[in-house]
Amino acid sequence: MPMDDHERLAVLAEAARTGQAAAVELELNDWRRRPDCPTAARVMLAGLLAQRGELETALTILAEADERDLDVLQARIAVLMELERWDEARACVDQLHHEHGFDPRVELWLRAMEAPGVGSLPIVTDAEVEALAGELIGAIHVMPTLVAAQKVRADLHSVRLLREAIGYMARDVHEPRQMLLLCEAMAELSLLLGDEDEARRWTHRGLRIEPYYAPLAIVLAKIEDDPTVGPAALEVLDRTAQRHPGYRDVLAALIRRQFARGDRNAARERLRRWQEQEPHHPVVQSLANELAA
Amino acid sequence: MTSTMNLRQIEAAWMQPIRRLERQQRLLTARMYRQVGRLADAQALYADLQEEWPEHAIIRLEAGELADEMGDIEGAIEHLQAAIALDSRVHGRAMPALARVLMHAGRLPEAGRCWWRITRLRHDDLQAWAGLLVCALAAEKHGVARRAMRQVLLLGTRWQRRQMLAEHWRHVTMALAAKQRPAPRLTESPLQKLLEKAAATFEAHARRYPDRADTYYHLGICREALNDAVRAAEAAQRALAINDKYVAAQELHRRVAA
Repeated sequence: MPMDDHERLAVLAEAARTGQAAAVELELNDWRRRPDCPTAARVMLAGLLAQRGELETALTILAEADERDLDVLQARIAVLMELERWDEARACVDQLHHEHGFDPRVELWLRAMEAPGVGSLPIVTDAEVEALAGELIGAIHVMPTLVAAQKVRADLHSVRLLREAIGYMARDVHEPRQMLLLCEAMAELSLLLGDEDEARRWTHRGLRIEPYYAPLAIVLAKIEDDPTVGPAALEVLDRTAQRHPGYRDVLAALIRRQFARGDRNAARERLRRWQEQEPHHPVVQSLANELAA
Repeated sequence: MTSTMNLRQIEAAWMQPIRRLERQQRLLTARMYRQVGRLADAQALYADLQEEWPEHAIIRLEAGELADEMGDIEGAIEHLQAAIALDSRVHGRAMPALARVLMHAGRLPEAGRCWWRITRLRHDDLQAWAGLLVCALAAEKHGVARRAMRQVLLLGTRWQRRQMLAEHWRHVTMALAAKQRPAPRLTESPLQKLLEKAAATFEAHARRYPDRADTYYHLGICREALNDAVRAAEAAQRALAINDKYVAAQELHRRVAA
């Protein structure tokens, strides 16, 4: 009965252990030339060669193997580090991180080996981002809740993971309502990361879909205007407040923005009119205290 | 005449003048053979010397190193273990050699123990700590790896550490390929993890600010997505108790109570 690849590799490994390394090397070299040669056989051959210091040849063999494989990437990084080919090692480190960096064992390996570039790796991996994007597309209604949780208590990994995954999803979402939700989430998450440019870009992108969308108008109230990207926050807040007169957070944001921009009399006048309508509402009272302070 | 002799006879005839040399000279000859790549000749001489001089640790040590060079890993392990047992003065050379051979053999826990024993003898030995670290990483002993990593970071320059770690890794590459480790997979759903964390965040927030309807609403959404309809309905009810006009909470309650 013919052996499968796994059995054959086990036999070869045993032979290499018991003084037949040269014969094993010949067989692996022969196997390597065949298109059905498994990645593990190539790594084994590269390992045999590297063991006795033939690093360049080992690298050539590893270059023929599946470049996404964990063993291949770790072996390549180690050999490139030993040869002090730092740029190539760094590129392999990036790839290892993107392919397998979600696995704590891989993360530990990268840190333990002091692999080049490990300090500047992104904190989320492509594999995680793609998986989350795939899951979120079928449960898009939970996205505002996930973003709200980050606004209550942000953790950098989750914020970045969400932002990358939503950015990834945005390429395939065409339905305007869903796109609006993505824009809102991206704007909020960018704001949490202190990235005002991105927050502004996503806010205006969403407002082009729905010009009176109150949550985006409120985000816009928190960032500086940039006429090259979209209309001023005051203009957006004013038109949104007129469209949704009962939306207190929009009115409060408008008054705060007016006040902050130095238009204090107009802000106070708007607040006075609101106080007449809802003198005891907590939002009104808190805003009045804020402006009086 | 020669054609009728078998290989063993040829070897015996050829080795005869060498065997007449003093032991010390033969040892030097064996070393010379090894240096110029005549490994089989060196091996034959070491075998002779070992027979005559069985208690000599250096001979076993060098025979072990040679066996490793020739790819006879099991033979190398036997020689090196014997050398270590015979004379503690060869430990400094024999133990790292044994550890490396054990790495080639894929006997990673034993190799790791061997490196660890060296660190007990020489606490600031970067090679030994790096060897222990690499064995622990390859054998997936993460606690040991973390401890070894802390020690490695205290020794040598970054360049030295990288070179040492990379060099050690090449000694486990073949063993790992033979093991055919399964590729890492994302076993946990990232969305589920985010939802669990979000639910915990909203629970804590609700304890601190119990009159926020939106906190209960979002908590309900998390629980609904985590397939906990009963507790999702509870959260929606809490949201509606605070604000009965909360449309999204009403919808959530309708969905989960059904």
